[in-house]
Amino acid sequence: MQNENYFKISFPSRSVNEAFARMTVSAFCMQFDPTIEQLNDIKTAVSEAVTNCVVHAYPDTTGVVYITARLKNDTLTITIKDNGIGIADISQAMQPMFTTDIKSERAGLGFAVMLSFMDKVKVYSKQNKGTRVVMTKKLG
Amino acid sequence: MTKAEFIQDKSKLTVLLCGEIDHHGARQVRGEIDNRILKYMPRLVVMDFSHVTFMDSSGIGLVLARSRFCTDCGATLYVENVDRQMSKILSLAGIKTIQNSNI
Repeated sequence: MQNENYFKISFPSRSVNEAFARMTVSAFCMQFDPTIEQLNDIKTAVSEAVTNCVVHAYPDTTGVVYITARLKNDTLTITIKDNGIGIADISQAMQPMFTTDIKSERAGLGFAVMLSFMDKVKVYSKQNKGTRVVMTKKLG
Repeated sequence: MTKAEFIQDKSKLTVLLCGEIDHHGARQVRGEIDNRILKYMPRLVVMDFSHVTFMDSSGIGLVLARSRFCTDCGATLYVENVDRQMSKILSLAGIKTIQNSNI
């Protein structure tokens, strides 16, 4: 199919890679002619998910973050995965203003941003195994 | 690269933020902003986002923490020149902004 494409990348969970991740996903999306607003929404959602990996999945170590993006039938699916500490209570973690990171200035709105900027967000997590965030958005 | 430039005008301190504000970038500028507020002790602090090219929810943390810091220092904080995308993010935390004002 002509209108089907994907890419996979992995990189260390260093905060400097947050920009690299959202720009890479954004560059991939360009070929599907998104609006500027759609592109900004996707960049922001990716930035939130990758920041979660950097801050929460690997709090005291540097681990690997995996991103897969796939476009099929005008729907973009982005999967952001880590092998970090996992989330104890997913529904609590997804609540606006909830954060376990009180010492820095995290607002606890990462998942709220993902949910409001993407069409669907699903979170799968196992403690001490890792977390997978799957987000979809219809383009065009 | 995230940077902050400062313009001091009597009792008003304008913080001109430049570049991308994410978790990485916010950490680079927050200490510097607080130091300037402590140094000048302004009555009004304006965070100007006109030179910001990207912002995620780290911008909310940056604004809310500066707002608390300003209150502690007896100053008022305004957020200025945010675009539609930033406004969408800031509104998730109930932060109201001023568009192109001349305070």
